[in-house]
Amino acid sequence: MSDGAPLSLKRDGALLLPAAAVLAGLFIGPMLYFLVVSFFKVSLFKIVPGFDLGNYAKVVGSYGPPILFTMGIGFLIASVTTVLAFIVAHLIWTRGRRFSGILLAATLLTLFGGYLVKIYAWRTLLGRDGIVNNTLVGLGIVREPIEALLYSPVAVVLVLVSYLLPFAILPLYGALRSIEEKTIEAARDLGASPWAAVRDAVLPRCVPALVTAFALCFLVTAGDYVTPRMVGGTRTMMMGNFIESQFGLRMNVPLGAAMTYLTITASIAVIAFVWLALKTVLRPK
Amino acid sequence: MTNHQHNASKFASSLTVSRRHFMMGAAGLAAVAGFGIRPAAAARDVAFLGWEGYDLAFKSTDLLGKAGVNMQPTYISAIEDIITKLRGGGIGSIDLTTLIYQYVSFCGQSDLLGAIDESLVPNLSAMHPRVKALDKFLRVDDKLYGVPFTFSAIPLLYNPDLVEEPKSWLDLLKPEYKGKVVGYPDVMSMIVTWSKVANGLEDPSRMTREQLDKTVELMIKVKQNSRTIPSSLGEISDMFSRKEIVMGMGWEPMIKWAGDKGVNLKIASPKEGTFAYFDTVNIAKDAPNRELDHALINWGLSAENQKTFAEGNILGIVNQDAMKAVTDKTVAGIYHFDDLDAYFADKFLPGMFPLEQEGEFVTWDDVLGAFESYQRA
Repeated sequence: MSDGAPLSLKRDGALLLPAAAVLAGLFIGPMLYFLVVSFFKVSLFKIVPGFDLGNYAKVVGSYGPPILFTMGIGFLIASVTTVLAFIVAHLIWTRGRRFSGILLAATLLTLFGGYLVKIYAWRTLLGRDGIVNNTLVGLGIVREPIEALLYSPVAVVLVLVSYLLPFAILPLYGALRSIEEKTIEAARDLGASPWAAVRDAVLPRCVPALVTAFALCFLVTAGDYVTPRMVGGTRTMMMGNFIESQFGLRMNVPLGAAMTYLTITASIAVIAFVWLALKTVLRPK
Repeated sequence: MTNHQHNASKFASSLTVSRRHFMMGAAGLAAVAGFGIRPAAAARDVAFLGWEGYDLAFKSTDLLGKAGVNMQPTYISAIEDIITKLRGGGIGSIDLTTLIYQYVSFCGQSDLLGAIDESLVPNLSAMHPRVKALDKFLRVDDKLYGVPFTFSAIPLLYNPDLVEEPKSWLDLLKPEYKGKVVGYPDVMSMIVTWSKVANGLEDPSRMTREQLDKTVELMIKVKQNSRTIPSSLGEISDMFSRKEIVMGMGWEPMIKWAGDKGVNLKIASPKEGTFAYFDTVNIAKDAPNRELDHALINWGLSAENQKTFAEGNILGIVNQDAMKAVTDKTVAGIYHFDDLDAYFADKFLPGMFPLEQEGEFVTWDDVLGAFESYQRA
């Protein structure tokens, strides 16, 4: 192995083998299996091989609204989280100075609480007798507790934004750190306002990180089935819930696989749209 | 050295493994993984999958200690979680499950359960006669796949300090209770209860398509009047305790759970009847500790343990001697151990939905599909 040479398949192929095996065995293989199975049928809870587009037709016919709802709420959550994460990362980058490491660690510290603990904490906060409602009623802002705080799409958004924020901050902070200060200084010297400098000099350089942060948040949300069940209320069932039901209770793996592939396709379309939109809107000037 | 190479060298791997050494290592790993070189087999813990508290009914420290293993419980939030977990790779690692009686033959036929060797469970002879009548739900090809060990119901619970006693399940639809009622998390309880209300059938598991549609229509109305679709029984109890709801579908032990938090709950007797059920203990297919599992089941069915279970969990039991020995007034009052017929007088015990088409009746898969349309609505 020669130091400093770029990676070569011929020379380093053996070293890449374990990673390739893990990717192939644990991701590509199962995905291909489910793609094939998605064309099968189920009879009396047992899979019957064949080639049938009926599962896809059923998903399009019966699960259109849940797919749209999942994409919509995923887009909202990923957008809000990415914007908030950019603001936090930007503040740490510009104002953090020698405390930036500590501030970054503090944001990551919230990950230590665990996902379910956060959900239960939010339930305590948002319930009819929760801290938020008690405070609002106590201050006279509302007369009755706000029922819609918990068991509603609002609660799903709040829980997932708070959970995903640290994951979105990391790529954005990394991108911001790679921007040289003199770029901003040049923009300001040329008369750009602080906002114009961020818009024209900083954001265009963060497009890959913005897309990464958005995609991370969006994909986690699109596949989630725990949060909607725990805090979502009567009309917040997402595709994750229906997919889980097919693989488990209904024992209809082919239909579940078809649901999965259509959800993945819709997710890729949303992420591609966001990527193109950001690339178009945030052109460097 | 070019500039590119200079930059790359900063990040060059410090690994100095030669291809030859790497291939030797890989070959060794393949040998271990592929040719079965593994540590000597160790005793495996008994994996329990069921409702929280049910594990204690079968957790004999003596039997487990002698076998040199522990019991590892995994708790469920809906009955269907058992099927999900067994289907999702649990076969071969799970020992005991606690399925509702209706699911037993279906899971036996689906190769999710192993048959129980009755000769290894002598305490079966102490079962109450009423329990023995359930046999038709528990056998496939004459082999036993589930042993009832407790019974209970999904009653209409209400808080008497906040509302008057409801007389019908339809009280859950009253506009004045909007956002203050709740349904139930599992499919079976919802479908059979609301089928009974919508169609008045003696056995709600024999429904036509039209009757199923009427049932789901009614369930959607309940959902629209509900605070949420609860994710677990604990959540229903918590909602009662926080006074977020005033009535709803519940479980008899919630009277104690909410009572411990200072909230008074009572059981109503709706005119349409209440869904009662027996829970069974089962041995999963290819369970790692089959022999020990039988011993634990037999231990759990003994009079002494059944009495402790009833009083500790506020649940019905099946051992006749244990019924006579229960002294806790709350438990004895709810379940009428001295006269089980009195307990079951306002209740119904439906069968299982057909797995295959049977004349005009909907199948279990139709029911599951209908339940999803209720969830989507």
